[in-house]
Amino acid sequence: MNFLSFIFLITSLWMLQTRNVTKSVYLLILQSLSLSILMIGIPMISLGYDFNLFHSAIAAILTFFVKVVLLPFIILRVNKKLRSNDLIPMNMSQGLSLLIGIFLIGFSQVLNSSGFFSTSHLSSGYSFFAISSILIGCFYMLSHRALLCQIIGIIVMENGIFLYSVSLTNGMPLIFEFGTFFDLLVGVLVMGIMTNYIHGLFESTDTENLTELKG
Amino acid sequence: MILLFIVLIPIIFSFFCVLPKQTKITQWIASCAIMLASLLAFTSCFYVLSSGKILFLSNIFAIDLLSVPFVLVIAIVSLICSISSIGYVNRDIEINEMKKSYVKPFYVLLLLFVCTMYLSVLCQNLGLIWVSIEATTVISALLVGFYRKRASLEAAWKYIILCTVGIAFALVGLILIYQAEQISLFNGVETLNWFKLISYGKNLDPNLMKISFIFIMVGYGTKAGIFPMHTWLPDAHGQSPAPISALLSGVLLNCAVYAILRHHLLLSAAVGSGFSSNLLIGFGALSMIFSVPFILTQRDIKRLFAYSSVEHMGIILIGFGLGNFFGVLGAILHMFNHSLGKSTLFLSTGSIVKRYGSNNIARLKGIGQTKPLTSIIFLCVLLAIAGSPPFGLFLSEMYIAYAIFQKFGFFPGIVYLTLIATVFAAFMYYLGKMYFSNQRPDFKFKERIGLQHIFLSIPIIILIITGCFLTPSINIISKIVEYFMRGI
Repeated sequence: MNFLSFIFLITSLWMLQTRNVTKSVYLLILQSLSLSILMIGIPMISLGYDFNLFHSAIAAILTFFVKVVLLPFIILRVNKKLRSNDLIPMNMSQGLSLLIGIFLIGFSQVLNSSGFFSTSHLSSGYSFFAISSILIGCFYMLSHRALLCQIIGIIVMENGIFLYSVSLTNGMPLIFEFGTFFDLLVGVLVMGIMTNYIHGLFESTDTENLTELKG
Repeated sequence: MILLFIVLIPIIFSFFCVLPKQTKITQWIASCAIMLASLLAFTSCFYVLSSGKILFLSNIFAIDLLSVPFVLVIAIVSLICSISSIGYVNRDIEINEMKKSYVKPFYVLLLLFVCTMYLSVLCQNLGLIWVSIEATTVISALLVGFYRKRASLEAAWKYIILCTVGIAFALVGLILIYQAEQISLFNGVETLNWFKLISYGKNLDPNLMKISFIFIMVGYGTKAGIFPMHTWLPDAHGQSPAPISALLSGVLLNCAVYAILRHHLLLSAAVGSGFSSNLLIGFGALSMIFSVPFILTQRDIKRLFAYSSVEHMGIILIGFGLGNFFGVLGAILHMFNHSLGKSTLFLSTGSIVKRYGSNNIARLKGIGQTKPLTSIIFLCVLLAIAGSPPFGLFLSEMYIAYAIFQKFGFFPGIVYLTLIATVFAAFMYYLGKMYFSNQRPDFKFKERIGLQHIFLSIPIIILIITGCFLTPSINIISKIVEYFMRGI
């Protein structure tokens, strides 16, 4: 499980210095794949005899189906339709972006190991990886200026939140998990449609073009 | 079963909307669906108000006295918006702002939007409330960017990204609540069910609950347009079609406030009301204070009303945060009145703006001469939203002012009244500029009375009734206030 969590973290960190949408999506697939195995592995280890295979298996299958198959497929398809092979515009250099990512990981470690987190039941064995991923996902959206990168950033953030939920609670109620996956799927679909519209009008997917509305 | 049908009817009718060839039939199918859903919503609210009982449907849906004002608001505003949208969409087609082929998708999305808003106030499971509110974002984002212009797409993109990220924080809050539920219930079945959670509130871990509320406040606060997470709101409200702006401002913001209130009650049951009340008052005060400069310097009329919504959300949060009788009474009435007033204001503004072809306040001259009927409605609701008597918003603002004086004393009360007076003065200035100026010579126009004028007058009548005849002693209002106060 530690190896998978390590992959989960490294993929999100690696994304920060990638300037290619396709590469970022492949890294996202790898991250989501490790998450789907963790979704079943973490409860199995922590619950022992109380482990509910049905619940965890459904959550893991859903994660695999939505985050490893469907969402990357949608993003790659939109990217192909845009025929954009340009490098992703960034707000800073790749090196600095990576450096800030490493700083965020360090910050997550400090936060996770603090007395407040452990006494308040906010941390568990894997919560460090989850918090890092949430912060890196947020930062990825800020550092990369392409519309598709904002969608990828949101999914990385959500991956972190899902890992946090499974590490803390061993899985949320099934009806809720179904709802969140459905929302995420439809949300990414809508964002994909909008990316298409925006590209059609602005002839670019650089978020710097979206600064007309002010005040 | 009635609760299930309120949600199902818009979904079922959204399929029928695609079938007819004529756009008129599509429009009437959508309006009938919303009318039917509103009728069922009124019936269920009447049952809850008259019996005082909670209406349950399995473990998923429930309507209690707290949900009643929110359900009523959705029912009334969605009905007015759907009827008014007919004229509005037809005009858009006439001036080539909307293609005829877009009418069906518009009404399908409108029905789904209304359905998700009903879901968010009818679900008793905190997880499902989150799912519903996230669903409102996804669907309404398509409506915000419906014109597919540069500005509207920019607004829609900012809206969906900011609200999705914001609401992800609320998801972290929910995970922490679920963790608290698991820790306190060793052998129980954890479900995130609000009624179950509140019944063993005192057993919930206080630290976890407090931290979860901070995440919830940031998450749902983004959706409610509370400062400093409000940045999407003026863009989205300013760029969407008028009926959608009306629904966003009049109903959607309230759905997010509703979610915050459920969590406020839960936290109050777990650790007492102090922590969450202070946060509500703090965020509410910030929203009021920081919206005022934007209102004073605004040039775009729809953005002006959007910032006014930020201010009013602030007033509502302060009222609920105060927690005393007049505070809660004022907040509930203010929420109801603001929804009716703001949605009518957006609808009438939409009609005026379409005629002038500009949102710029400086260009909207002589609206009283150009659109005499619509501008009378506009004048009335603008006065109402500014907080002028005899409309209900004046009374609700004064109830909250009284509650502030009661709880915090002289200085905070004066600051609150000063802020309200400043906004009132700004609105009067803008009104004078638009209403009491000369019409442009090329704007000869006669306005005939239509169905939408009649429908837009209904909220004005309701606002006058709530302003003149609603007193705290009326049984149904005191019932709702006491139900809320029992929880805090």
